[in-house]
Amino acid sequence: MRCRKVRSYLSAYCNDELTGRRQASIREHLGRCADCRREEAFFRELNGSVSTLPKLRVTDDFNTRLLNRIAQERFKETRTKAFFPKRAPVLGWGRLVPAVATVCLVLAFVFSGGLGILDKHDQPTMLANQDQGNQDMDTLYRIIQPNEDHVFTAHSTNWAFEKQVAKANRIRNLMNQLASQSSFGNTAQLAGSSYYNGYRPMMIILPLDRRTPSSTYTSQGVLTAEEAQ
Amino acid sequence: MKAKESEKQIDYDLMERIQGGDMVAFNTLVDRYKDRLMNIIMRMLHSSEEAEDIVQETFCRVYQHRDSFDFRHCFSTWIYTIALNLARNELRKRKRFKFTDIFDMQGKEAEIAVEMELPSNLPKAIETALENIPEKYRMAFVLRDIQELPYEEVAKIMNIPLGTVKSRVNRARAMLREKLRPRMEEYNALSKGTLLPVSLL
Repeated sequence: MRCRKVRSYLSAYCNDELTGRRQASIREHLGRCADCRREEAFFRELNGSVSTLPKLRVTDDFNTRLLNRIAQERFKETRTKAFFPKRAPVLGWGRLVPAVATVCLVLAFVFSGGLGILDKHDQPTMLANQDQGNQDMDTLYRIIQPNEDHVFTAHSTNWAFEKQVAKANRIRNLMNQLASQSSFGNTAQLAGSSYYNGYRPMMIILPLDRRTPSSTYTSQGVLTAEEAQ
Repeated sequence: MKAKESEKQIDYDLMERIQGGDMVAFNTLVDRYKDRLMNIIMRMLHSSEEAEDIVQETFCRVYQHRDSFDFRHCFSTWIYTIALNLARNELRKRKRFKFTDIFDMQGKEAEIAVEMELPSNLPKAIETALENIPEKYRMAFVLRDIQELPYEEVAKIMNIPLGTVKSRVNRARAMLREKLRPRMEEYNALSKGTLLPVSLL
């Protein structure tokens, strides 16, 4: 064995940490190499010095300070538990049950046709004379929305409902009256004009001085028979 | 070997009592380990105040996590691991923030210079040399040669293979040997003139 390799094992050799065979070969080398013996002596001195290093100790009041600290932490912990007894789990029964109940209610509402109100609101307003000439006026007024501030439904029972019914009746009577007049003009043209084809409710206000059977009604207003000619 | 087994059994009994809320058992456990931990941590940090804080923190952690102790493992390995992890964190913090009081440093420089001139103070020379070797070698050396733990336990504490522990300890000894070579030569020269053994000089 060469000196370099022997020296790499010397510290382990001095601590008896090598296997028997290697220990023996190093011992044999040391018997004939003075330099390596000097190194060995050094390592043995180092080992001896390390074992005589003073044992360091904690201060005398270490236990007292430690137990005080632990007592303080336990007190804090107890106090926190008293204020916040138990942290609710993220998905515990307390949150899960209301969440499931809410989902069930929403699903029941959707599948029972509850969204029909919204559908009705989206429907275009139909007019008495527009493609539903044969339909009864009593059913038509239910889908007319005369005022955009009110959602007009068949189930309304408040004063607004009565008001709308009355208004629809007035319109129906007026339309029937106009339809019976021979000088009314082209009803289809009237219904297809820009005034009627929107979603706005139909409301015709006749000036008192022009409410004559010979008047012609257009989208701009009421023309007298002379003006119409 | 038998003594070690009985030591382990004592630790297990104490831990069982601590888990049952026995503070007297905890105090006994503190007495058993406080100086061993201080001996290691002080040599890692080289500051008695910080080392004592770390030892205190280690016992607090042991108390806090007493219920999570696994009786299949050795208690000493567990407590040494906690303490050395805390010491490592402290060393990492020091690297990040290094504060030095220039007045203290001036005083210490003078002290160190005086010590270096005195060849008779060999243990202090070893401590100084130990401070200047890298942390991973120092830790292995302290656990093995100063605390005299078996290699297997050092491997478990440091969470590295057994072969790596042996290599690190060997490397640490070689580093110390290089750092102390001039000092040892002085000792040898001095010891030739006296009949006292080197360790007493």
